[in-house]
Amino acid sequence: MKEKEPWKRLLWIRQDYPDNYTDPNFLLYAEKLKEKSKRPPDFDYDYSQIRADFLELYHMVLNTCFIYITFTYINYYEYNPIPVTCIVTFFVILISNHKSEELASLLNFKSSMIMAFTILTLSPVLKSLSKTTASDSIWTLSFCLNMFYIYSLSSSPSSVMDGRGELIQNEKQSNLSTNILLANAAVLASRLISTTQVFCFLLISVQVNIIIPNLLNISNFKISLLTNLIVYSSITMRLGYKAAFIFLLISLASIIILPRLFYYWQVHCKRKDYEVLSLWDTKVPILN
Amino acid sequence: METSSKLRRSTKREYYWFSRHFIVTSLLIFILIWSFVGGYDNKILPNRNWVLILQCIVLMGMLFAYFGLIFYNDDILAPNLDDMRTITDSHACIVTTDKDDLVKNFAFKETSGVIDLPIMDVCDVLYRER
Repeated sequence: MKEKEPWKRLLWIRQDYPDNYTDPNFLLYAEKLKEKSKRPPDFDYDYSQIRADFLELYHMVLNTCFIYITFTYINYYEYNPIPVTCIVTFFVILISNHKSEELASLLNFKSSMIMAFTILTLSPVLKSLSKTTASDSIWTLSFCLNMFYIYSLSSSPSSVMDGRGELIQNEKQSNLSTNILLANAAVLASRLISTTQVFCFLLISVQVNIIIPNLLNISNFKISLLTNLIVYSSITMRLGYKAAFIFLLISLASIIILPRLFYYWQVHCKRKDYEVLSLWDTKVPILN
Repeated sequence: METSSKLRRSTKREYYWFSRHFIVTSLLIFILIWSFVGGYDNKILPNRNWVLILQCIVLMGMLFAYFGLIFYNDDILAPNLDDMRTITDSHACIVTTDKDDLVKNFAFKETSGVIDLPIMDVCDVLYRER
């Protein structure tokens, strides 16, 4: 007799099961969950790990600030972007040569040249692409794209629930965040004056936001010190001490208070049925 | 090693639920602050009448979703009573045995299946002028 295919939690597939079929694994799972909810909750999370994760998120957000710092540097202060681009590129080439064995596939010379020439070819197009759109719309669009970028960075779908409520590891690296970053840069590039500026802006933002986080650990002490220094001094220069102080308060809150809040939420506010909800969630859309 | 990676992944899932909880809570607090602070004389937030307007839009949208769509479904999308679609459809299986056979087989025995009757024959039986 032919073995019946296991039931899948997908409604659009015609399966050899009745419509009201309930997966026995799910019943087992529900029973286990009921027992679990009677017991007092157990927290075997490492608090230092939680703190490290929130610090990582903070560094990720700081790193995304660089796109605006570069934009302000080129657009508002109207400095020449070529020396900075050369320095950043030189720095990236230095690091990637240092680690060339691991990253031979990611960053070989040929593909980086192709990328650079593609950006060079596209920069006149990007400069005039949304020229007629009002600046306020551009800022709003860029803000929304940046929020989406941070979300896609922090919630890369590395683990997906399968039908039995077990987390399976998603091997494929998503390039959604890269695409959003490029869209953000393309939107902002329309406010720049010359093609050279657009090219330098795109090159810097791609290198700082995509290549450097892949090469180096941005939570490293020295790198994070440098990042903090650059971001805070730019905010103080452009927006003044008050804005820098507010930014400092928010970042301190996200480093110190948020992990505690997370712990508090786990103890007091967490709903017991979140696990079932995530088991019967709609599937995550495939965006790349 | 195995358990630690599993724990790691489940913590990631927890972060997702926590971020949802956090975002919704901070949105609520923001709306409260906005509705208390955002008068005519402040320069940061938009006028607080917008809170009222947005909430009304959401409320009326829900009202529309719950009632308007039901009425639309009943009044416009549903076929009329005299429409052929009310009576039969393309999946109907019409029995085409002759009458004597049908009486002999099914009139005094129960059948296990449901047989669609040809609607013209039903009308013939029900409304035939005597």
